Formats: sequence, C-alpha cells, structure tokens
Amino acid sequence: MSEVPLLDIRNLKVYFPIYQGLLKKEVGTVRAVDNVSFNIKKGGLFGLVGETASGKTTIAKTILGVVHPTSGEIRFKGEKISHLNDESRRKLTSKMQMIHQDTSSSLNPRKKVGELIKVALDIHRIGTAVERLDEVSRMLQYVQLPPENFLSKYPAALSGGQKQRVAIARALILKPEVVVLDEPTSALDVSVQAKILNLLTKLKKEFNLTYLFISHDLSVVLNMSDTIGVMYLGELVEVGGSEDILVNPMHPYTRALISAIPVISEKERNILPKVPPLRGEIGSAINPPTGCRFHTRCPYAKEKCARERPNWVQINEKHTVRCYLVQRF
Amino acid sequence: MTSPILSIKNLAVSFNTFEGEAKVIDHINLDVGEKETVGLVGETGCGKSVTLKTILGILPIPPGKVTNGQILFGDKNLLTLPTKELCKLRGRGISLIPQDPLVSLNPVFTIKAQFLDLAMRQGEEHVSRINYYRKKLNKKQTQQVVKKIITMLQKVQIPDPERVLEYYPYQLSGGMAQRILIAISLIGSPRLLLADEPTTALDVTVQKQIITLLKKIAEDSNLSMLYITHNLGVTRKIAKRVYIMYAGQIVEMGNVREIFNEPLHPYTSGLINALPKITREKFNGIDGTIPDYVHPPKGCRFYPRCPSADESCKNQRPVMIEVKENHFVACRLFQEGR
Repeated sequence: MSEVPLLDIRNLKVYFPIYQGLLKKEVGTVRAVDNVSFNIKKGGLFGLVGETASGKTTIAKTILGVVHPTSGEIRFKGEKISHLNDESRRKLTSKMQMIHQDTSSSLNPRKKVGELIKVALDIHRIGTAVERLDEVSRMLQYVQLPPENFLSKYPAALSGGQKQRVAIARALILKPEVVVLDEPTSALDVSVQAKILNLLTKLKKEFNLTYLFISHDLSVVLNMSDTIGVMYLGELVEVGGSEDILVNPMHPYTRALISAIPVISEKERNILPKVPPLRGEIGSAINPPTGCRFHTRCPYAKEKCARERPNWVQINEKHTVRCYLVQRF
Repeated sequence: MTSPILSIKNLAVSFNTFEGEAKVIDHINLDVGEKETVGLVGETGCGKSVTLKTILGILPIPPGKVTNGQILFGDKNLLTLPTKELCKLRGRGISLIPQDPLVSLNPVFTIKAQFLDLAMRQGEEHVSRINYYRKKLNKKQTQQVVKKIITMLQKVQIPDPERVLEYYPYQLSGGMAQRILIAISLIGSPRLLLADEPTTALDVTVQKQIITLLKKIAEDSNLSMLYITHNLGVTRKIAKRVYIMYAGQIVEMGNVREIFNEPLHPYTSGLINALPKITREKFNGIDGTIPDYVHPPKGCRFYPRCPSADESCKNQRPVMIEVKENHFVACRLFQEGR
C-alpha cells in the first residue's frame, strides 16, 4: 500500500489492572483490547462490530486519547498519536471527534443546545463571539434543526433523534477529519434511526469525513460501511469488505453473528448462512480463554484451537481472517 | 383462530397530567388465541407497555384511568375483578417476562431466596409475618419447592442449577438472568405468558438462543403468548400473527409474513422501509414524531406523518376492516374500496 492510511492502529493492547484490598494490590488485568490492528483510508468508513464487552468502545476511547494504550501504537496521517502531551492532544481533538452512545447522558442537561455546540469553539478559541454564534446556527441547519427553534432549548425538551442531531452538530463544528461514532443509533426507534443514518451518510460526503462506525447491529454496519472488522472478546477475528463479509463470512463467529440477525423477508433469509446456534455467552476478559478466544463457543473447535492462537490468513486483498478452519485449505 | 384466551375489547386508557388528559390507549381490540403466539409491535411511546400493565392490573391508578372497555381472560373481566382474585391469577394464570433482566432481579438477595419466596407465596394477596416464617422454616416443604425450581431451571437450559441458585444477580450474565426470569414466570404453570421485549437488552447470538427457547417452551407446555417488541425481525421469528400499534391505536393485524411482505397501512410500510436490510436496499425513515397524547389528531393518529393522507383523514377515524382473509387494516385508503 503506497497511500498512508488516515488512521492506522497497530498491535493495540489496552489492559486495565484490577486492584483489590486495603493496599490496592494488583490482582489481575482486564484484557479489554488485545493485539488489534486495522487501518482506515481517507474517506473510508470502517465498521466495527461485536457483542457487548468485546472492546469496541475501548478502542474508540483509546483513539481519542481518553484511555492510554498499554502497548501498540495509533498513527494519524502517519504520525504517532498515542502518548501525546496535553497540548498536542488538544490540537489534535479538533481533527478527531466522537459521537457518543447515549445522548441523554452525554449532553449536559443544564446547558442550552446553542451553548452545548458552541463550547468546542470557545475551547479552541475559534472566531469572535458573533462568528461562533453564526457557525452554531449554520451547523444546526446542516443537521436539519431550525436554529431559531432549537438554539435556546434544553436537552430535556428534545426527542431522542433531535438529541442525536445536536450531538452530531457538536462533533462536526470543529471540522474534524475523523469522526468516531459509538453506537450512534442504538437508543433510537427504527424510523428515526433510518433518518439519522441517512443524515450521517449525507454529512460524510458534504464534509469529506472519515468514519469509524461502532455498532452491535450488523445490519446497520453492513449498510453503512465499506470495510468491516468483527471483534470478539478484545480481538479482531475477521476484517473484510462489507459485501465480502456478508456473502462469504469465513470465521465461525462472523457466520453465527450474521445468521442471528433478525430479518423480515424471505429474500433476506436466503442470504443468511445456516449455522448451528452458538453455545453459551461471551466469556470474561479477565481470564480470556487460551488459544483462539472463541473456541469455547465454537461449534467446530478442535483441540488445537484451545492451545494456540491462529494467525491471520489472507483471503483476498481486503479480506483477512483468523481461524484454523480456513488455514487448512 | 381458536377461541381466545385473552380478549381485549375496545380498551381505552388515559392519564391525568398537568397539561390535561393524555389519551394513551385509544379503543384497541386484541385477541390471543389458545396456544397461539401473538406479536404486538410498535415504537417507543406507542402504548405497548401500558397495554401490558393494564392487562396485569399493575397500572398505577391514578394517574392512569381505564375509561372504556373490557379485558377478558377466559370468562373473567380482569378490569372488574377484585384484587384477591387478581392475585390468584398473576403468575398462575397470566405471567410476565420483564424487559431488563438484570434490573428485574433484586441485587441483594440470592436467586434462591427470590425464587423460593415467589414460588411458595404465589397467589396470596397478603402474607403475615408468622405465616411467612412458618412456611419458610418448614424444611420438607421448602425442599420440595427447591426441587421444583431446579427442574424448572433445567427446562430453561441453565447449566448446574444448584450452584446458580446460590448466586447473586450480579454474578449472572444477561442471557442467564433472562433464562432465570423465564423460569420464574413459568413456575406457576401459567396459561398465558406476557413477554415485554425480553431480548432487547441481549446480544444477537444470545437473543437467538432465548427466542428458540421461548418457542420450544410455548410449544411443550401449550402456552399462549403475547410478545411485545419493537423489533420486526424478532416478531417474524416468534409469532404467527401480529398487531401493529401506532400512538395507542392498532393500525394493522394479520399473518406476520403476509404483513411484512405486503404491508398495507402506510405506517407499517414506513416502518419496514426504515429497517436497514442486509440486501442493502435503500432505507428511509418516517418524517415527524409521535403525536401529543393530550391533543391527539382527531381522525387517524398517523395522519400528520402519513404520505398518502388527505382532508378526510383529518377528522374521520378509520375503522378496522378485513381486506383479505384475516388481514385487517385501519386506513382510509382501503375503506373506499380502492
């Protein structure tokens, strides 16, 4: 690859120590993210899917510098951005923004919509007071909220979809290049979700954005992203083009995940792979299973899977998978 | 359809608020047949849970108020039944699987303590303290009930039930907690199960397991089920017949597959169009939001958001008509015989 990816994550590990007792002795570690590597090209849309507790949000937070990585590195336009000092980090935040999962709790209930959006401009000292206000109104128009009605409303007076629009406006006002979307629609009804997803697609074109889209809903990710990474218990198990992942899923976990999508028509059902249902639930990241972490639930697990962690196998240019089943071919 | 086990007739429920009377449930009719699983689908705030609470008689009154209608369970009208009788029915005639499994269990008691109290005391309106301990300290009786509980836990496929009984809720995963709640709801061998979005809080792979389990249980123990959800895909998996609800009104009813393949009501088709599909077809949301219940539209409640609305929708409330066999829809478009 000649082109430098906009966001490059290499061997990222994020461990959280567990302290216990009076002396706060370290008794263990939560391996939230273990050896994850992927990259996003400029203008790309990378979808990260996985079940609860698979480490999706931790990756998002690490990219934005909220959480520090244990090892590995994150590069933005080729420059290393993990372990930056506060000053350089602040400069970087205008290039990278995040839209949080639960808007009801990520919008300060005591601030008006206008103030909520403007605060980023204040912190970065962009423009004069009047210019800032103009910018806020312009941003509100982009997310299809008429500024004259919404500038002085409190979050409590907004519906779920409107709150999400405010969150989008707040993230985009600094003209970022990368936006990390952490389950942006999981709290919304489908009729509203469709509106927000279409708005996000439109804004991506308009502002020439790069998205990292995190979701547990595979049908949403399949529709939004060009590349998909599937996570299981802190590890990436399969990465590939979204069409490829849907039509030709290689990892047993991806197959199980796709086959569990509740679909509504025969046409969709025919696409789904027919696989036996998974046993049990996602394990614990404190004592993750040895070898392939999925082997405890995998219907095809062999003895070898419990011993050694499989290596990445390249299927085609974009599609790689980490499973012994594939290696046999 | 077999004779209904639960029949809601012309039910209207409203709430007294500062702004005025919020007419949340607007004259709905709903039947659940013997051994039938029926889906009730609608978005947030459309009155699904209020309907459910009214059936169980746990709607807080006031501010709630049932202004019209009947809820027949067998031949009993649940709305006029004295509390004592109602208590006998709860858990043993009608049972509930709540939405959020981990919130629904008490965090400071073990599963055994919670389950045992419930299993021993089901059907009693008031329990005196002496009576409570007398029964609880009776080892023979307790052991019998524990045995029954363990068989029930095996039925919902909980591995190692004896050990799980000693757990506190925080030690359980979401799927396990939901299985335990299913076991709790089944312990009184009810005839009707009300499921209030039992899989919403779970991951898709676990959701699939729970749905398969519920289907099997309903079949094995001849249960009728009213399955409430906002997820159309889940409805298709579990139910044969479905009611689509919008803003406190039933807008469409019929066979699940028929409705999802050929939705008739503009709201139903809007909802289906809004779903991201894995065939990667375009999806579009529905404009606007759910109406204000204090001053709802006089005619069809969907009229302000409806793409095919006209003047007559504004004032005239459409009635349910049978368009095809067992496929009912409440919309002007089909009333004029177009």
